[in-house]
Amino acid sequence: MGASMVCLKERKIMVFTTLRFLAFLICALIVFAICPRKHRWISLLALSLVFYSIASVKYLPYILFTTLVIYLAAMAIGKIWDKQKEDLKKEGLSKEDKKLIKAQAKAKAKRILIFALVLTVGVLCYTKFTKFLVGPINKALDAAGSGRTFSAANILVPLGISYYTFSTVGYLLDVYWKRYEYEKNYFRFLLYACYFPHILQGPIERYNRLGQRLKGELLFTWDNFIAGGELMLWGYFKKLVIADRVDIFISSVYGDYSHQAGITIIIAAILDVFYIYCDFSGCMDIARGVSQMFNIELDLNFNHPFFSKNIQEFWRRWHMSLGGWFKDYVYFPVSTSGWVKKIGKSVRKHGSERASKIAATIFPVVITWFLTGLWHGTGKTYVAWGLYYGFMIMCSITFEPEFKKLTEFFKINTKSVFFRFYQSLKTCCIFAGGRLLTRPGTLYMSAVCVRRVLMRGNLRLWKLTDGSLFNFGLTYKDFNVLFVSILILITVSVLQEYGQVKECGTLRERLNKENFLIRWILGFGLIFAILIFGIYGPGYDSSSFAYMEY
Amino acid sequence: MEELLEVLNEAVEGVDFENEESLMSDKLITSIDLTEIIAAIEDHYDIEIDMEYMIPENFESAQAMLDMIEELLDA
Repeated sequence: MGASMVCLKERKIMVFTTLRFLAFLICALIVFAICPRKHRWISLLALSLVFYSIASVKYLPYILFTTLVIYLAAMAIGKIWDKQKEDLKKEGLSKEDKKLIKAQAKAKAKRILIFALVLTVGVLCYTKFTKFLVGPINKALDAAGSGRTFSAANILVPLGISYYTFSTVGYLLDVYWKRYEYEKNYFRFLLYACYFPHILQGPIERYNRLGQRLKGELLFTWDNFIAGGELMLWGYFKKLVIADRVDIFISSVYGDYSHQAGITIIIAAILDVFYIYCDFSGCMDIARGVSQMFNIELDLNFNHPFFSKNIQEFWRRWHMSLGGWFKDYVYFPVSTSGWVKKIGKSVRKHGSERASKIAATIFPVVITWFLTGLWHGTGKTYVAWGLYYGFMIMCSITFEPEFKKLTEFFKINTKSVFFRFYQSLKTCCIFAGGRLLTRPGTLYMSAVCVRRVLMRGNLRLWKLTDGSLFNFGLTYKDFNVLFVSILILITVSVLQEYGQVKECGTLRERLNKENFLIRWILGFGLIFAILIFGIYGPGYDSSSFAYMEY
Repeated sequence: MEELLEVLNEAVEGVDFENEESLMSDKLITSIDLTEIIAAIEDHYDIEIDMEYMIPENFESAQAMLDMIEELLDA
């Protein structure tokens, strides 16, 4: 993480937590408000390009290239489908003729699709994976006695490249699968890709939703401004009061991982769950709040994931836009592909129905999670992280019948609060295990951390009470602030989840019905909490949103 | 419809395919269930469900699935 922080600083990104960003936002709102309604989308496009260019103008050609290639390819494919529709309307066509027309159109469209995918995904892979591959290539060249070496030092990794490439590739695939019409205006499409609240950290929006919202009525209203501001405040609270405070402790613990007591590593692993949740979901709340000020709703990216019953459900509620993307564009195409079906059928012939289901599931799950791991990072740790989740999900699917039988045998009430609590705790533990693979830095460091937890006599529980925990950058006061803040976070999450389960509206909707005074007290309470308890000291790095490097 | 209900009940247990109208929106079937359903329908009706048909609306209810199957059989 350290190297990436330096990298982000050098890029001069307008991170949501900087004053520069708040100044930009105020200017953007003024420009947006004074612009005639009909042309507000143009003002948003200009503002987004300015926002992106401030980090570096050098990144612009990349996003322009990707969006142009996808826009042209989608238009070409869309025109092929239009022509196919016209051709099929002709009278006197036999079933065979129709099949031929469809097959010819599909072959043409497929060629364009592959060409566009190679170009755009190629740019993504080149910028993200070259640094990872240069080392082994140079080693191999050296071993072969060649004097040549490659350098990846000058390769730029454009900001938000994973997010905008995934969003636009999703759009292209949807046009190819005839799920919706292609966009005719390139600048509208460019706005969808580079809309500034979501360009750096997502959510990975779908064109049929965000694209349409950007075409809707772009109003500037006081209600939207206040509602967006409330959401931003909640995001800042999670990020500045909880995530950045917890991060000091975790970085300090893993910075000297080889000498830590088992209990210290366990506490760091537990706090790391709060860190990544508050960092990423806080960032999403800010992004959604900013976007709401422009009357544009961004998709929900977190839906209280820690209330999930199992790890599959967790990934439907955590980074939902990425999970949804992989489900729609990787999992389904793989799981319904001919070769996976063949494997399923072959296993059914020679084995049981259950074995066939497992065989047909294992390949799509492992491929999806391997790629999800690669999306998060190019090192071995992320490959291991992806495979870890693939394995956990396969275990959960495979042993579900046995687990059901066990609960029936022991007559466990699976609807009780205690059982739900156990399920949530289990999900949190699996998630913490996954974080332990990536957070320390390397797989070796992770292994050492696990060994130190399991090492006989190294748990050293007395460290909980002898004041040793205050040696990791946080004072007694910091721990008190953390405890209260996490309690607030959990209470709010429980209330939000309750509202969802009982279908009585979101917490914000319920709060909006409350007295004006209560709302203002809560709002100012949050502002003061952020100003007083937020982390802004000399060690503070405002550009360290964990998910910004993807 | 009865034939389809038999196929669906065999593919995924414990879901009320006969009465449920929002299988996808209410998250009553998972993505793994959905691939089971697709494989069972393709096998039984000897059709191929292309990606363009794999949209939530086509799997919201047994009736929606039947409409999709009829469209594919006619194509």
